[in-house]
Amino acid sequence: MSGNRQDKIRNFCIIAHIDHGKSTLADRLIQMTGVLTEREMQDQVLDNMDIERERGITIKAQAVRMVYRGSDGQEYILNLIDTPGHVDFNYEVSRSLAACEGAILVVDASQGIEAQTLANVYLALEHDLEIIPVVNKIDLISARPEEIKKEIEDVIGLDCSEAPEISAKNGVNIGTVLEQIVKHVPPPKGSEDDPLRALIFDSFYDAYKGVIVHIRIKEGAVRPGDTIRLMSTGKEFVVTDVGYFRPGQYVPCDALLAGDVGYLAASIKNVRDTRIGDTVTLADRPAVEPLPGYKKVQSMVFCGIYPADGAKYNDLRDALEKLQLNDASLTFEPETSGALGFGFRCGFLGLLHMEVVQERLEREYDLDVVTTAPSVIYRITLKDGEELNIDNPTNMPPVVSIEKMEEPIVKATIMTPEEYVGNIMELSQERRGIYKDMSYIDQKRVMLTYELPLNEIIYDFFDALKSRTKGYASFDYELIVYRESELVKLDIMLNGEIVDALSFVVHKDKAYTRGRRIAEKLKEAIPRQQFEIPIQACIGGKIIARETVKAFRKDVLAKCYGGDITRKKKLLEKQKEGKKRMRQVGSVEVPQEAFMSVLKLD
Amino acid sequence: MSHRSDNIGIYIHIPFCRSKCYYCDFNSYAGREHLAGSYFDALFREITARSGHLGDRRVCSIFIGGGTPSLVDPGYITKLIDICRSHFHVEDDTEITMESNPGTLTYDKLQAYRDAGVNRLSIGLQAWQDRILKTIGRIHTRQQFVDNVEAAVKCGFDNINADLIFGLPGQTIENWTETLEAVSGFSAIKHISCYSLKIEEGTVLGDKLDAGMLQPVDDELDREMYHRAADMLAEKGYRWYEISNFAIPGFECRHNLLYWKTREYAGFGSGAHSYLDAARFSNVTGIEEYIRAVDTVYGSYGRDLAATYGSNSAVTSDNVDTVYSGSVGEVNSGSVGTKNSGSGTTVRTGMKGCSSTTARTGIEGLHENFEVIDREEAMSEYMILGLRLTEGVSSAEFEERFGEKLEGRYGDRLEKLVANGLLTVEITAHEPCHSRPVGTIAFDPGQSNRPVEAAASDPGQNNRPVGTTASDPGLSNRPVGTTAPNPGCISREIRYKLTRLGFDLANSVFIEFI
Repeated sequence: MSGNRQDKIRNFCIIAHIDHGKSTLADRLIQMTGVLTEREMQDQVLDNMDIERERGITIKAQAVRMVYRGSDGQEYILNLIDTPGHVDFNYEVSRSLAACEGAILVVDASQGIEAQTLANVYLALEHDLEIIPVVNKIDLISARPEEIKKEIEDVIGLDCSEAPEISAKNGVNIGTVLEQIVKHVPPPKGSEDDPLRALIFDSFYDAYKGVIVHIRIKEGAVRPGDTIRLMSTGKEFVVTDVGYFRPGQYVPCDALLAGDVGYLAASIKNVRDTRIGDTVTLADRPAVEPLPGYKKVQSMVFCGIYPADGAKYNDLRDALEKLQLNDASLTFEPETSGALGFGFRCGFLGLLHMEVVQERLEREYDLDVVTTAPSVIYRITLKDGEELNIDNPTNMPPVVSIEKMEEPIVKATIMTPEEYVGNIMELSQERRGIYKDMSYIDQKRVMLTYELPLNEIIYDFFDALKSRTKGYASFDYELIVYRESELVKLDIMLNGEIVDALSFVVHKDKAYTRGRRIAEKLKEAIPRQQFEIPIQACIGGKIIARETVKAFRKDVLAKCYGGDITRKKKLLEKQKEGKKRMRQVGSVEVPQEAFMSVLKLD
Repeated sequence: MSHRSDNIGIYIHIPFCRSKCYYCDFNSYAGREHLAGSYFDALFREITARSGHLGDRRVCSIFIGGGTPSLVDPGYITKLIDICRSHFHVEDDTEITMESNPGTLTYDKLQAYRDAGVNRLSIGLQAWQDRILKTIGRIHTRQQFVDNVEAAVKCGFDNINADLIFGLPGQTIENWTETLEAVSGFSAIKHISCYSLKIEEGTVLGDKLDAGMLQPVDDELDREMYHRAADMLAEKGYRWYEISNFAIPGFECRHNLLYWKTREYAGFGSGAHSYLDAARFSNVTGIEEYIRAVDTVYGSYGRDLAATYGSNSAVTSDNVDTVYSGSVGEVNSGSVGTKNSGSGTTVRTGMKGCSSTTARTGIEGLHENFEVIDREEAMSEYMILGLRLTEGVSSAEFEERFGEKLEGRYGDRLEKLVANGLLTVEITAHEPCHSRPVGTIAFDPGQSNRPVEAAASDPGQNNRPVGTTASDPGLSNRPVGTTAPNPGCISREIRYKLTRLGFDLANSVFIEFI
């Protein structure tokens, strides 16, 4: 009975390199299955957030349920779980994959396999998913589907004889994709009579229902009125509502059974009670073992986030908590800065993740925030044998007490047309990279492997890579090891005072250049003030670079034209507004942008 | 807090110019002189219609600004002043200023202005060097200015202002020094305004700056020029009394003092601003727009009065351009429409009047930017405007006006500004308030290199306007606040003044009071 029901369910996701058309294909599938009318169809339905729409990337995992009548005349339930495409969000990909049995691998017919194509395929294989290759964008003049299929077979080892050649944009061959999902993605297994085990793969906060948990039922069943238990915390809640997803809406139903993908609400008020990756079971008939969950997310990049207006500290905390609810890879804890007051030390998967969080805080929560220079976790061994993990340069112990310092090293995979190999090697060299390997993907494209210190790529590596390869290279990385390194803490002094928020750790050989560039950048970013402001970069007590912001000499309005006091006041109000966006650091007013400007040094 | 002034100013805007100067973003228009007739017709109707709203307020200043009021037929100016006299309480000693530009003035015109009652003439010179005048789009020469001043003196003008600009592209400190030296050499020039160039968007200079064709003067040089003006003019006997203004003691511009002291004023004409009954507002800008607005709001009201110099008798630019260009005493009929011309410069003072009956909204269709100035706002403006004066802001006067201690309201900010070296504090004995007319300038000999007595005895400066004295160039001869709390007692008065640094960074001071 349950076997028969599950035979009609397919749970799948779409994986792709960024811009290869994942979201567009998702839209087409939703359209083809008739869940939405044309009128309801917005472009890229699944990308809800403004930032996603603007940057053209998918950040958050989203889910939707479609009803599809196959060529065999049977009706199938297709649960599509969307995944992000950027390297920073592999963790989220992993979450989606754990809720699926299959994955559609979308490859651009003109660009071929890119770094994240590979990364995502490896993740899918780790989860034992059935992978269906699809060649997209065949409408492009530069499309070369046959070559790309060969590339997929050669590099990844997937059989492409049946791979659909599609144009998601123009809706070509979408039906074939749906048929292949039904044909190749295995139906879910798991008995609905077993004790409940449901994997939390996402969650949202709703002002009326409390936390809404997105789950994949592996075994068992859950209904309104059941008392559930979250296995990691032991906390129990009574289910008020279960259902499934349509784009932009929750549709209640009587029960979710093994194999289903849906949501549950249980008046959960505290966002911290629902951890993504946790297992939901029933209180009166609990499962013995939780599901494997996912690999614990490891924040790689850290920075301080401070409210621009100190009074908004609590608002910032609330906003971070809400963001964390569906972005488990975001971590934060309170910290204090001499320059910036009270704020939070936040951990991210990467620099893009950091920027996205900052933007979401500003757009969705209407908060002005100041972000400090990002850092990685350094391992420090003191002379007395104690080991420290330092994610904030301010907390570095005095140099004299340090026995050794280690920094995280990543394995970076870069795919590029061969003409840019020289540029990339140069760039990697500048970033203290160690060459490991080079191989040809096809006749013109190359895969380079480097070992790079993470702190060399968190600033602007991706931007530099793009500009030196005209945007053709793709890049992926994973943490492999901690390695001993000669690192120093570089401090920035404004008007003689160290600004803790601008301190960072850098390799000894690069300290001088970096210090000088930062001083120059700050000179541009800090407006003239009433007095001269020396900007100094120093290591320990030694000054290695100096710039000066000259005192401003003139700040006067033009004359008052015939009693037009209003115009004069408006100008002053505007000026005052600008001043409000400044941070008082000692006696110096520093614009918020200055804290970020140290990041973009190229 | 409404602060009704017993003595108010009248501003009248004449938006016509021969051509637009490269730095000018004022409400002025070139090549529209053919509209002068209908413009003045509308202007006369507006004055007539709104005059009743001023009640029994006495007019201590009339300021005819532009644009270039000297561009249009002087008959309009005569009529304008006549209408003001017949509709307002204009006194014998009312300061009547008219703006003008070299190249648009003639002996006959000047005589007509003088006869009409203009007793203060403002001339836009801007720079002494013909080369610089060209680069900023001025269409007159230094010589025309010299000739105009001499003609004006012949007509009896002894209270002349010259407008100057520093920080002009290509202007050196030597050029500026030469300008100051030359202008301060005319004994009839009792007042000099020195404005730091601000390049505005939408002007020729603004476009050039955007296009990278123009190297703006750096702040250091700009300030050097400013300080040079302050030092040189002090030596020549001009007292620095406001950020941009210098005058032989007794010749401070009463009209501008009204603004700095947040007194009332009524503006008429296109874009003119008013501050009446605790409300600020302005007339619509543009020439046609203004005429249309007056037609709509007042219809033909007042037309019979205005018609004596109606639009049909409008003088075209062809017969306006008799240019005085010869040496003193000679009157040449200049060629019509030649390069000798002035353009919009100097003060674009717009205001407009408002009635007490429409005081909460202004008159729809004519008034814009209506803003009620509440007590809080009035205090803020009092500080922002009052601190522009070198005499600064007095704690006693503040308290007299607002019934609240200055230090109580702004103590923290004043303290900070003093600590930052932008303000200084001066403590003096304060006379009982009722004996001190509001609006007078307290002369502090220490502020000028030339003591008041010396100025008074200086030959050539004895033609003072009637009713003013060296120590009382003020706006009113009538004491205000006749009920001082402790008549006869001398209390301490604390004055907050901008330091020299404060003058350089005045905005940084003002924003503290916003």
